[in-house]
Amino acid sequence: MGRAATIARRTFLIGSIAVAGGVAFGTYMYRRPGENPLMTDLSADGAAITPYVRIDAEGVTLITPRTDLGQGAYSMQAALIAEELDIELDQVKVDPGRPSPAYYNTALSEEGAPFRSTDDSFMAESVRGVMDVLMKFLGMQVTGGSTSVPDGYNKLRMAGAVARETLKAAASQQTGVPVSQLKTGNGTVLMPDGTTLTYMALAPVAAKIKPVTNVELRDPSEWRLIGKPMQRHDIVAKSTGTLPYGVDFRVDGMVYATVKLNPRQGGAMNGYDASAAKTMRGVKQIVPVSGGVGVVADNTWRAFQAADAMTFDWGEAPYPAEMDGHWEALSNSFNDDQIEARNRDDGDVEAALAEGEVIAAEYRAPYLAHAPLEPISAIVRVTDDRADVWTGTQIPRFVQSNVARMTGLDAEDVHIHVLYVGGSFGHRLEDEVVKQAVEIARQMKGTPVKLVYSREEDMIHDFPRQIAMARGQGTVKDGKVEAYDLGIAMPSVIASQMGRQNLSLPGPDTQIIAGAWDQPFAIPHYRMTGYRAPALAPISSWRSVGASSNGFFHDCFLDELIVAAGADPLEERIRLMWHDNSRKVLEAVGEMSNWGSDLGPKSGRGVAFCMSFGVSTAEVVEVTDTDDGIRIDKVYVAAEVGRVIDPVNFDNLVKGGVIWGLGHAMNCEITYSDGVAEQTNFHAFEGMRLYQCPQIEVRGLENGEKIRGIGEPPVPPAAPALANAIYAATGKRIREMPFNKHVDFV
Amino acid sequence: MKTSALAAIWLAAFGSVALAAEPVGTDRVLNEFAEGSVSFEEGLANWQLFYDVASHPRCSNCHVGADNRPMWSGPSYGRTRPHGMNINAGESRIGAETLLCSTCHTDVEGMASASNDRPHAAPRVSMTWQLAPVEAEWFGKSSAYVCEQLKDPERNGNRTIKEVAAHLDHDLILHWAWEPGGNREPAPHSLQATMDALMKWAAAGTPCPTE
Repeated sequence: MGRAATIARRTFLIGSIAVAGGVAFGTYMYRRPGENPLMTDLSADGAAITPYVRIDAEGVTLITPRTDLGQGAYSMQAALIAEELDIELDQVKVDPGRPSPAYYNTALSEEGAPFRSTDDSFMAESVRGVMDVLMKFLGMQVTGGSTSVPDGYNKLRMAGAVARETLKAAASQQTGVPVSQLKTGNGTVLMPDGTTLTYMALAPVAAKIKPVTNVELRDPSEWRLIGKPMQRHDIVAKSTGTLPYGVDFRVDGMVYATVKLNPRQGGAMNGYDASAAKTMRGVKQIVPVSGGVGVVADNTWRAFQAADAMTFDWGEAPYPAEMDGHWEALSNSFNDDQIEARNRDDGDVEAALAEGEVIAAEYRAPYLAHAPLEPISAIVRVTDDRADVWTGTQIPRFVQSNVARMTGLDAEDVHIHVLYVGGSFGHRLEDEVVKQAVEIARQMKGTPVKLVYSREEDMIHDFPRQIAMARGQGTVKDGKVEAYDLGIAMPSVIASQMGRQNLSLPGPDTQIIAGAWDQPFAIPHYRMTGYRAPALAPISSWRSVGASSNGFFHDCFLDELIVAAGADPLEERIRLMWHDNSRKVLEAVGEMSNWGSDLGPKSGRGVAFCMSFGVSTAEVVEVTDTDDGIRIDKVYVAAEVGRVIDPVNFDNLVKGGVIWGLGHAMNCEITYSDGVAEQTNFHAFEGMRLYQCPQIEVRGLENGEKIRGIGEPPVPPAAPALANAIYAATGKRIREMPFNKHVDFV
Repeated sequence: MKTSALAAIWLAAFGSVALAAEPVGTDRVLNEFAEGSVSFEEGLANWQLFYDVASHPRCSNCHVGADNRPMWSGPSYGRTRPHGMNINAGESRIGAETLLCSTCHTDVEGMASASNDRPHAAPRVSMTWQLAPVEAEWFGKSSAYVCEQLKDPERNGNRTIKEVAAHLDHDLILHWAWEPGGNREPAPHSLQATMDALMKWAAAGTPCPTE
């Protein structure tokens, strides 16, 4: 079972138990656990055993602080707690809880530290430890980075075990029966004589005793839930259209608002004319907000109509108005002054390039919107002594502190109610919508203001995925890849994102070269350089972040070299792979796809590999070049995650990631003209259609030491596997997204 | 060149007829013209009037070829491009094997309740939204090509020209072309004028322009 040291360091415990293992200098005070946020508004006879379990007259509630974005996070977190608590999932409620430092994300630091995830050296672990403290200090209660599972895997099971043992101690105190003779099951403590005491009945006693924290986690062989398909908490409600998402949420007495902001992101508003809008039906107020105007009406539609009836004098964009300027800025970034990181420099690349015939290529990846089906919204009510925010967010702690700062209230008087999210992909790692809702609500004290973005406003004001360019050079020798030199230029997505939270990025931005520099290939001469382009359009994390562009660059250029060497694409990747568990995922997709078998004329197979977020993922795509264009026939995916919590949800997440990756690679880009995003709705930002969707076969491997998340890793290999397959079928090498600039898709 | 000059002469003489106040109207008539009562030139000019309609985006956007992809063209779209949202109507031409056109272009009881003025709302009529048959591919096709196609029973649904004209009167999607709603430019002339032009063209012996 999990190493004790890991559990001690990564687990939040309660009461006065200090967590051992404060090894990094100056970190002691942040090694102490935070307060239990559940103690503040507990009913008189309720008990909060650890910050994750609340038991009161209503029943047992499991606190699941990672937001459910459709990925099943609530159900997964609940299962981890319930596994050790000996309670069934249909006996519990889930509640995202309130923002608290207790819920900081420990796994997120792994992505931020400049070490390969295959590197478990003391150095790497130490840095992760310090980053861990940094995350805690910042109170990063963040859902993202494919971290919900690795972050919660021990912590939440531990929380369940502590609650279970504390309830047993309470039962022992109440009955005089020694704890050793008590068992638990089905939400009850079982007495030796067969009688049962419910957790609810024991809660008042449990609340008064010291929690039992000296607990052992169960061996996987004893698991009832983990590793088996579970009925997700939200499935029935979602399938029947009854689940209230953030945008559906209502608060009594609320008014409806929307905003019009300068469509040139971050540009000024020099003036506006609202005379036509003021007299329109249902319009209540028109108020300036940062960078634009808010319209308040008696329903959302009327607010939209009034907003459209206004005219504005917008300022210029603080970035190049046309795309040529963006590409030029990237192109000019490949110079020594702009090197952000050269994390890899194996062998002697310069000498190798001077020796052989150089194969060179340039790759491009465009801006991409997050465009979740549910546009962003927030309900905010501000009074003199408290503020309430109801919204779907991945960053409740940031929201809380921003609202506190804007209203002058103390953070504990700002109540964040996290709601279900209808897709995010990183979109809700931003909280501009909340800030604007606060600006409006402050001027309507006591009235809840529901601010909803129109689809157009949502897409125009999305902070898209980074734009990026890569330049590769390489040589081959004796049928093998000999030298591989790749430079990647992009603006810093993390600096852009953290800047909006008034934070600066300490050290280099690891995302500039994520998914490329740390690939476990043993190419004799192998160099990876990240160049930091100047800030262009404001950008934000998009499902798989840096790896979303870099996985495409790194793998496709590798494919070009393998083809030039005359080697087999899969065999050469396997030959070059030094990391055993990564080799196994390549071997798995080879076996799944029956690699090497004849697909018939006009068809082709492509394979791609990318390790991101610590997950080695390989994908094989099969395509046919039909008279009407490229048809994607089948996709095979293998991913190494250490342990699969729920095979069905795992399968869903992988398939969703593949479809997301392929769909955007096929059809999508955000382009700026006159400083404004030209794609404002799904007609111009086209998803893969049901009839285009290939069969996708998924295999989760569990050879790794560490448990990993699967939300993002299937995305980076999807585009390169498709591009490599198109090359195999047609001989056409596509080096820029979207691919539909070069081929039609059936 | 010669054809358009003739059309201009014809329009100068009869143009007022083509600009009916109500482009669809309520009491359309299938006017018959005796065979030979319309001259060859007048027949050609009447064909040209019909071609003005057939080649207009309101019609040609759905008269597309075998790729089964409706088009978006005309002033309201700014530029010519395939229908957005990655739409393909399939060989069924109604989206049966892909995504039914009627998923968004839902049927309405009567045109009065269609609300086609809503921005972003897909246009709706009181029949199933669909592409024209693939044989009637008009998008980007010349006047001569469309002319030959329309009088070829193999490619016009085995109809006489009179039946084609009657079909114009009965097919409600076609009525929508003159009342498209929103900022969409309606088809030119009027439904009555278009039917009359077809009947006169038939009376003239269905002359076609040469390329």
